[in-house]
Amino acid sequence: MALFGTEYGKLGDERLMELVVRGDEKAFATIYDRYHRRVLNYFHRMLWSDREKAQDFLQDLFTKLATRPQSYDVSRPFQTWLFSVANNMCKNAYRHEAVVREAAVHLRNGVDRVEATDGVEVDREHFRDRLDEELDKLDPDHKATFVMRFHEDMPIKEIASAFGCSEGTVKSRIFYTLKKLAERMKEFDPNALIPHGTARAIRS
Amino acid sequence: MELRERYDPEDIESLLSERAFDELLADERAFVLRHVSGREEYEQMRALLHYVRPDEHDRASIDADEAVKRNVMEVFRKQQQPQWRIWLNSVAAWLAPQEASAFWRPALAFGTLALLIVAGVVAVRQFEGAHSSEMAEVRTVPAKPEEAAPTPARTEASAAEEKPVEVPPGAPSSRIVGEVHAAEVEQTKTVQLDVLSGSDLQDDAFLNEDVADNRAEVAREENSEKFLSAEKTPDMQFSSTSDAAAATPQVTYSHVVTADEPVRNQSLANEQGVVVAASAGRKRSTVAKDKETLDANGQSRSLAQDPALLSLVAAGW
Repeated sequence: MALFGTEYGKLGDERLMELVVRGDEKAFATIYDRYHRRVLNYFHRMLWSDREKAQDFLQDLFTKLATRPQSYDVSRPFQTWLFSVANNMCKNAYRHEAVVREAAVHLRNGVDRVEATDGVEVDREHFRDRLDEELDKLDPDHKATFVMRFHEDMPIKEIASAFGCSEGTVKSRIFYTLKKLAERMKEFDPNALIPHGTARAIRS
Repeated sequence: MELRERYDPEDIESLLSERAFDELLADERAFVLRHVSGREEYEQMRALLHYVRPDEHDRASIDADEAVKRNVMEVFRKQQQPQWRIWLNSVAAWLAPQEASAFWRPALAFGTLALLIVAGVVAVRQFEGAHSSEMAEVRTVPAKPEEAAPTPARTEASAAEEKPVEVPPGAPSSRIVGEVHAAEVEQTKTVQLDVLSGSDLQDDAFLNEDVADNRAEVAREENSEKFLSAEKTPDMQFSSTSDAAAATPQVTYSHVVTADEPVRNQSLANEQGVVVAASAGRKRSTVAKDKETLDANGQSRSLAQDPALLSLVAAGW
């Protein structure tokens, strides 16, 4: 068929990967455009908000995909497979860069952030920093589960597939992560920081 | 059992999302209290969950530099290139194997290829040979005495006397009607010319050659069969098949004009039919013989300027 006039943007991830395996450059570019921002932000969250490192990891991930597209497991959704690879890369980074992990707070201080304008914003920025700090102290699997669930908004089932574990394990990780964070951040009152009036809805 | 299935520990997230501690049912509250210390912790977790979820979405996302995409795409392109190199290398290794015993493969392949080409050429030539090269058919019939009387066809032919046979260039005619006054040949016959593929004969010059060919053919035929007779009319008439069919009772001779005949010199002086062009297939002796005949007959000449012919015509008058 050679795909004359094919709109790559309308093709599914799995179909695009079939084309990538055959050497279709446009399909590969489409996959990159579709996922590079999400993966980059995932790396950014997981790798102590280090933007340069996140970009390096992003390039490494897609380089692996370019050199060995056959490694994609067609039985799994592409997104799940991609995040599982990204998660394994993060695990390796945690394993080999324990020293950097200790200095995560200092690295994070160099990250660009929105300038706080009022008291609530200052509190929110402070809360975010503290939340990230506490997340860095967690087990990498718990942190990755938390980021996938709340930052990437991935369903429990896909997270379980990415980690190769049961859905119950994912739910349990989320519960204990929330419990630990709530315990360690007692001094903060999230109800006072809930933006856009969602606190009222929650209370009701 | 049913309660445990409904409220697995990990399902507390759904309870935290949906209900405040005061809104929990008794069995739900009992279940929650098995995993959290009390109301304060539950509400703390709930507030955190409701804060984190929208806040994670509100976080400004970062974008990758263009250089990252360029590098990745370059890697992908390079990854695709070696496949061609590997393919070409495999072809080279197949064509020129290091072991001599492995040469039978390319030899067999090239032999088969050569065989196919030869078979193809033979097939094409046979296919071309199957097409008929016949262009016209010349039939000779003995003329009847009553045919000497003027007939419509003859009258028409007389009007065309002294003129070469003409055919409208655009006409798709497949028949030629003409009459040539041939005084130098006393014996005549009615020659019927039936052109089979007239579309190829639209060129006037070509037609003249064809007529001359017929004349030469008739002359040769008559010389060989010795049908000299003074009783016959001194006319050589060419008529169409339909006209001749009514006028000629019997066909005594037939000759099919083929495509290679027009290349021969068809002038009266070349009655032997020497092939001027494409004479490769002829034997040398035949060519020499034809040359002698040519010399003997002299060069081609116009009928009006031939003194012998003019004297013959005058004697006839």
